[in-house]
Amino acid sequence: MNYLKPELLEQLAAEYVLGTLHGGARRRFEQLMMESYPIRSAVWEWEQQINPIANNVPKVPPPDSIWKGIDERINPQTRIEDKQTGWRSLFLWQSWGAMSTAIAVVLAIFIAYQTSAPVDALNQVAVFNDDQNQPLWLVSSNTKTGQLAIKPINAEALEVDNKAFELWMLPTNGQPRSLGLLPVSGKRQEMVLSPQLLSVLQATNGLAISLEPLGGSPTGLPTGPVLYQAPILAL
Amino acid sequence: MAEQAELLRLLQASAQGNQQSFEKLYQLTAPNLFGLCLRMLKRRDWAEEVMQEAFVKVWHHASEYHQDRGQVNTWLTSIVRYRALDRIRSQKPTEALDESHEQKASDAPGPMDWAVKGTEMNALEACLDELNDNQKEAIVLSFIEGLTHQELTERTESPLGTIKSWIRRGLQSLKRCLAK
Repeated sequence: MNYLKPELLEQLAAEYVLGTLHGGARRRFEQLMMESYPIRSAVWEWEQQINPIANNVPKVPPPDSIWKGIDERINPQTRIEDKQTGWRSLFLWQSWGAMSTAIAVVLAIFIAYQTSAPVDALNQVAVFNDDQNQPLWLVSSNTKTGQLAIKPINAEALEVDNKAFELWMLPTNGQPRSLGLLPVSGKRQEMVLSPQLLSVLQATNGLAISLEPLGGSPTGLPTGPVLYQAPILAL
Repeated sequence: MAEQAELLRLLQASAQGNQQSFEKLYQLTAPNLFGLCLRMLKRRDWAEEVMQEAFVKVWHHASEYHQDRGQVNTWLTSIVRYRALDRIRSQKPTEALDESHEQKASDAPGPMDWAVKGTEMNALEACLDELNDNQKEAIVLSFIEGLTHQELTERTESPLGTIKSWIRRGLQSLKRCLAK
């Protein structure tokens, strides 16, 4: 972004690093960083200049649970393997783990909707799992009202610089239709589909996720590799 | 922070999938970074979550580190701080109260109590000292507590325009001073 004057660039980079650039301005600046090396450089320079302030904060010994959590997330099978002696029991544990995850997820949805919104309960769910059957995203929807909820569960580690995950409906007839970009972390996001998209969803048995440029597929159809697929299950 | 050469060696091994090196990197840097998280987030559970999220990211992105990012601990501090800032901003202000930790935090050195540590800190310390007290306080509070402009107006009982100007001019002076 060459149109940023040097003084303004300096100012924005400094306030980005300091943390006083927030909200929409922060997000926009992050987009500019992705597009421009000089902007990234300015940020890196400021990081080197002011991050040493952190050295002055008193050290606090972290509890063991932090490392345990990191270890489990970078190596999801650790928990299972610790308890195993043979491949047969490993297999059983894994299937049991995947099944109990699915049951827990479904129960959680039921409980959430029993307590908060019994009338418009979501009546469909799709769970995207990784190779180890660990859930990554949960997508639930209501085929009457068009409500759609997306919950990232353990997708953060997948994050790729300068790429986005896009969610697609795979209708039984016709081409994939985009449901938008998936967050890799944070709280559950909800939206209401347009009547047109809802009618596509009603004729869809499966969802897919593809890797796309930032901002999503430029063509309206998947352009990157399809990374995950999940069947839509009726509740 | 531990010796930079050692941290670099550990990060490089982590990028090649060596989990033992990654654990060692964590052990060497976590006490400092966890202290920072607690200071910024004020809540232990959030600080623990942010540490986990940040280090999972470090593991998966270790190979993206390069020297233009500065020393390894600069890079780690950035990852942890940006994650913590996202966390602070995504919470409602009313959720951010944890009295037990508030008390602890107030025992810790305030932004104006500086102990000089290491050479990089010496230069920064000297330049921070050249700022006037208001500018220095606004910058340090933003950095280590993640305060927004608005929160700074409440903390310092000064108008928003004044706060913005302290930070802007303070950063400009800091830059000039560090370039000397």
